[in-house]
Amino acid sequence: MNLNRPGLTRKGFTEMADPTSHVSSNGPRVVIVCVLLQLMGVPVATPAFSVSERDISGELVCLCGCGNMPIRDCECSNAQKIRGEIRNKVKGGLSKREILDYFMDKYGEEIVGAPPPWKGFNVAAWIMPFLSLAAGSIVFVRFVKSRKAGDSDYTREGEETNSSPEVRGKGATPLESRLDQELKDYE
Amino acid sequence: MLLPELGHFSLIFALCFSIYAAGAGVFGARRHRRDFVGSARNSVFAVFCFLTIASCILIHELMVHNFGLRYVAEYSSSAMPKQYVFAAFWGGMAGSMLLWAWLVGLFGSLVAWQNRRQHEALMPYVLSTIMGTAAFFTAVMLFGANPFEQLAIPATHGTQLNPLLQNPSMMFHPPTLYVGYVGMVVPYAFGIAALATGKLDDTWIRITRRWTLFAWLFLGMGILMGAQWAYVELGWGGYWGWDPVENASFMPWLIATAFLHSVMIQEKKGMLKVWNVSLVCLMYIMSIFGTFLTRSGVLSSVHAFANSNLGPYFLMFIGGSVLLSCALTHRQWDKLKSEEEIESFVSKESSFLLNNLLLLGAAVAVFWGTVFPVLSEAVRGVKVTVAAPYFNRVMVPIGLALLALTGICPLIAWRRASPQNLKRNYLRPALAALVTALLLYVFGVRKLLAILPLSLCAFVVGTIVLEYYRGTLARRSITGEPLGLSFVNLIARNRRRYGGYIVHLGIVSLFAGITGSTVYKLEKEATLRIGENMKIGGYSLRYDQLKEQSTPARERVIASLAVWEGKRFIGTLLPEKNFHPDQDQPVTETAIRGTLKEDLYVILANWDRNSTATFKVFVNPLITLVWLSGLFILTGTTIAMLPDPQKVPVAAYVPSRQAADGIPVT
Repeated sequence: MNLNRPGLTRKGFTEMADPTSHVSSNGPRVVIVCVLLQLMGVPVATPAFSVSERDISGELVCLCGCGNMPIRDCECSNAQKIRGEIRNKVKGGLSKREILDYFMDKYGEEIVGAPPPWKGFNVAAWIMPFLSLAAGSIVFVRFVKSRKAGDSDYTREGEETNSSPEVRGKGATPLESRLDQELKDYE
Repeated sequence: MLLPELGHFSLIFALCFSIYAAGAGVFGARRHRRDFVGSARNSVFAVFCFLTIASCILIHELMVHNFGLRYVAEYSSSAMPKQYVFAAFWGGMAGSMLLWAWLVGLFGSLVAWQNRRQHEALMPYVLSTIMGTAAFFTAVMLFGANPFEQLAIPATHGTQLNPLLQNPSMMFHPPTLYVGYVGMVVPYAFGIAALATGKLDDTWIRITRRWTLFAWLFLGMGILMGAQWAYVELGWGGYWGWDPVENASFMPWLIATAFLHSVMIQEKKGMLKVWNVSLVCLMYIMSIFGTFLTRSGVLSSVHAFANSNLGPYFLMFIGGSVLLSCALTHRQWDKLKSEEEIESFVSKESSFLLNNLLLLGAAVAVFWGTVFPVLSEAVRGVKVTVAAPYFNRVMVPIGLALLALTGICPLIAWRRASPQNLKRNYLRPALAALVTALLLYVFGVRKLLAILPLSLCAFVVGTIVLEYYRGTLARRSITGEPLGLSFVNLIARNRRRYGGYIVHLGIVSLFAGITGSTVYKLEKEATLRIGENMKIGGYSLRYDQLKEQSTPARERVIASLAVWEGKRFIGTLLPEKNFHPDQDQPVTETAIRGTLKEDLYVILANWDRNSTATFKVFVNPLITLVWLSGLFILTGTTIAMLPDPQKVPVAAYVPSRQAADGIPVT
């Protein structure tokens, strides 16, 4: 168990509870990021007032051997006990992160269902999927760019309209050819 | 006791013949020895026969309760209902390996028979690859988990199959899943054959298209059945827990989905050869890895009923497959490069690539989350849990992007979409999405996580309806058929395309169901005295009585609740707890009242002597749509798999009804 963790101070709570100050000073980009993070529900800057027992009990998993069910859903006695503890902590006015830290100290990091990103290596768990998507996007963009060599020949609108099965002109392309084209598509 | 020995020997023969077939196929192909190739093909049939004999013997031993066999004693008892005794065939490690191997043998034989007079160059390698896989699974049985292992002292009575597994889903879920897993072997074998022979055009893709669809369909259906099982049997009101084993089946499904889409680009444009070969290899490796996760117990989960030490075998085999695939791809690298070009980011080609990127990204995310606990333990020495809270966060954005692409991809023009194309195709679906969002808002849906996916669903449905509408009208104006007939013929003549759209409708239904049942799920726990009421959503439930029933197989405790919706009495719900002999944990039998709108889901959590009982009640909106999606996907895929009458050589397929009826071909 991690003993040198800073204590659960009131100061920590207020810092966590006031992400809006950052928002106002850093403009729309931060707002977007915050909205996205909120959407994902990452416990980075969650204001304390939004924490409910349900939030926390959905965040923790039961280790009774039920297969990592959320504490919220498990019926075992241990889960019931922990639900009680959560209730107390929520009443005590702690922030989400503080509550999670408390439970991790008490039961080990395993109890949190998503590796808390503020603990060293765990960041990798969160970054890696999006990093690979970003890497994939770069490969994708470069692939398309490298294939865009013969730009000049095909860019005329008329050519494009003819070859495209989706654009059916009201007089320009007869329906028959459109249907033929349709049949050729997708085999 | 002769039969078990016979079974054991069948396995040994199956192993010998499959190794021989794998070797003879490659040897015959390289030295141009038709006799060896023919003998390899015959060996495939022999392997299938031996595995069939072994399977029949195991089933027979289960049915006659021969508790001298360890497998029979461990997974079945004479008190179990007959159908679950039969299902015990795949209830444990050794039996499911046998089922796997048998399916490999079956598919191998089918492929060998189907292609006995065609694709002469590819077939030896195809059969060798399939037989290599069969050899591996047979070896695993013989050296690690032998279903015919005899007990020194026969047990007097068996152990029940885990009662959680004694559910109708258990009859269908594992075999369906396994058919899906094993089906992936066929496209992989053709991919490897294409690499080995250097015949890298789209022939191998065209041959395996239906196999891939078939495997993909079964895997998907298997996953959905598993979800249904979890929903009905596990009693926590949900259906998907991001359990490692669920993930294990989800990853190959995602990759197969990517593959199904990207092959269209190769068929149409000759692009993405490397990509498709890599995808098919990845698909196969992931399906082996899935079996490994399910059966090795390397990551603890509810499903790891069968713990064993087969990990190293599997890892070696997976490693070998990866090496083989990479080496072959490397050797053919120059031939795999594509010449075609992409003209624009706003084109069908590009949107398909994006779809692949996202599907693969999703698979990577699932993979990463699944193995992260092991990784964290190795790196930091700290065990962490990666469960639903992680996956939901990571997968929701990817899923929503995919949903949007489901709408965009089918309608965007090949090569380069013009602004007119975009406006013509997307204006109305986008309006549909907007209207849906507004309506939802007006009717009190305020959560972004509900409005966003549901309006995206409307967008996708809009594009699909538009496609059907335009296609039908175009067809009617050309052929003069009545509207209904031209609609039917539109589908019949472009099965792949319009079947695909039906599958997309299924995906929409799935997303809508998931959204409703997660974002607006209601949940309440209450301890009631007899005669007392509780309210949840629009329902009110009155606890009436508690009954006890005892049968040889189980003790049942049944609570009876009268349920009203508003003022209207809608029936009685009977949630149960069952106690099975020689099982510590009682089994929850949920009581569910389902409508299209929502499910009322009741669990009897606890009770005590002074006539109180605790209930957990859920209201799961739209969850029926999740199950309904299976129906759409099944219908759509079946349509897409049917042979197209006018597009295949008559010699290869029997002409279907339409062609025979002489309906004019446009």
